Amino acid sequence: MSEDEISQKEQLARLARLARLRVGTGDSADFAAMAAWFEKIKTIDTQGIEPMTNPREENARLREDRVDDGDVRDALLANAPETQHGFFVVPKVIE
Amino acid sequence: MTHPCDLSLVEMSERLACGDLCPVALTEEALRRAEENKHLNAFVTLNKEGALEQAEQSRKLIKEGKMRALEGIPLAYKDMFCTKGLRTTAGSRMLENFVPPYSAHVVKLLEGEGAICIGKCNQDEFAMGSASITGFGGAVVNPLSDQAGKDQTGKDQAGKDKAGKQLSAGGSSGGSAAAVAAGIVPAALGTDTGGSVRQPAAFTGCVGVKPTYGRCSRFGIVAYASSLDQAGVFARSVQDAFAVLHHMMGYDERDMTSVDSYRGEKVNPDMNFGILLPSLDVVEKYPAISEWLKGMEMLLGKKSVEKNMIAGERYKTKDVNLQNLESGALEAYYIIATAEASSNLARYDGVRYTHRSTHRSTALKENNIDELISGSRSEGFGSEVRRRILMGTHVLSSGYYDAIYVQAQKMRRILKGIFEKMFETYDIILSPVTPTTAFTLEEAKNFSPQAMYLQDFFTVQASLAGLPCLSMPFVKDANGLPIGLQLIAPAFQEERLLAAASHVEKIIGYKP
Repeated sequence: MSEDEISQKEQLARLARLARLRVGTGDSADFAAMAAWFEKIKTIDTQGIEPMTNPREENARLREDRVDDGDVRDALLANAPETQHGFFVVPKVIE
Repeated sequence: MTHPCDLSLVEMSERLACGDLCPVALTEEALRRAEENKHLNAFVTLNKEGALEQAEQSRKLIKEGKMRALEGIPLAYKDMFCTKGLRTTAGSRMLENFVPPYSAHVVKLLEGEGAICIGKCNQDEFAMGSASITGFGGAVVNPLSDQAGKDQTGKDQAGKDKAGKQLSAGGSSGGSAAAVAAGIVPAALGTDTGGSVRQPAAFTGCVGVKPTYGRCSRFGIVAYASSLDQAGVFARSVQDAFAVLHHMMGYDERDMTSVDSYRGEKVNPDMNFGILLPSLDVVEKYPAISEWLKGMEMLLGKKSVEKNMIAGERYKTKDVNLQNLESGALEAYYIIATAEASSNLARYDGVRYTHRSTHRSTALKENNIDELISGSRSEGFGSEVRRRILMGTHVLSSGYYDAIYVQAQKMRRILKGIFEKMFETYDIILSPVTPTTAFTLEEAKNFSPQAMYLQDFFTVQASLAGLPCLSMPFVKDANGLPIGLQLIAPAFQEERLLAAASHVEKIIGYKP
């Protein structure tokens, strides 16, 4: 393996950890090709341009802060893979 | 006599009103057609009981003279729209058993007008794709597959490479497009993030409309890329598409980007069309594009085409670089869409409402929540979704955030500015929808990811700028497959889009 390939593999492993995904052997080549393609955006002259986050960035409006639903615990829990006493069940995270 | 499912939505409505057509019988016919066309794989879930219940209610209301705007009209929704009590999968194993406790805002609006939901349509997983092949339910088949490359008697024609092959319905809203094209429903909902309504419409010969970003509430639509996602409509005519869209628009306080109620604006009937072909070598490279250009000459006349071409060398406004439309738009779109997807899809953790790793007992024993989450995500997501999450995580990570992600957002503003400039001269912009006509499913499965992304070549620009746009059948290729025409209007000018598309529809004599 070349140094480039090793660093790509390490980079992919780091991203997979961040995104909580497991990656297979085929993912590495795809990733390198896509990352190289994305690099092309750097060549565009954007000096003095503000980033645009949303087509409606200027006029987004907020609603009044009030409760308009609620009492739906059971309906929401109904889709959970495992529940107990009205809670989601996860592995123990506190020692 | 025309089969009731083949009627236009407007005719259906008229016949339902005068009692010529019974909503229950119509719904039964639509469900029967869905069963007959099972080979198209257009549906993930059929809503038989629910639809018949709704139809019964419609029958009662019509009898009582209380008919609403879409009373008794059978519709189908892409499986991205949450439907209360009816499974909503987004085409993903991750949501295979998800039954939403509420409906999407637009679904509620249509229900409130009496529309009937006959089922949920197949799609690419989480709307990521251009062929409707990545969904866990398998590939959608284009209803035009049977006609491609055949002569009038139905025989395969020599030299027609697509004869006898299964074609893609496009993606990601391929199931909705197929359901409309096959005459199962007069209209269906899709979602369009970078072309997911317009491209399948072009592939299947339907009309597909995506309104301005903010026109329809995104509440209850499974999120892919929030600054780009919009609901859209498929139908067999421009009039039918807008007949549904008109009832979906309006402010919803649960989506802060949605805008006030829709007010139709006056439209000047004399419209100035600008033609956008980012570069002329595209015309030579893709046969469908040269056919498209010939069609343009027939539509507007050769002289007007030359005069109104806003492409390449001819467009010389100083601060607008047209080349940006082709070289940067696709990258900018995929950078922004994957970044937003990586964030939106973080909610699927195997804990709250999603697929949970079957190895969970081991994970639980090991007390390892990270293992539980990454195991569930790796099993629940398909390869294209995993790829986009990884790429999105990449562009948002330190060292790339400013150089790639923010750079793409700056590119987005440049693009918006280019459109604003173009709309100073032109009322409507015309362009192709896709570089090719429908490819075969076999071809689709062998495309590299980037080859597939090229399908969005003409559609991402309007998405990035948040503009209303529409795809309609225009001319045909050598296999007899439809080539679409895209119309783009300035933000919130849906009425102008409707007027322009109706005008074109009249000229080319397209009959639903």
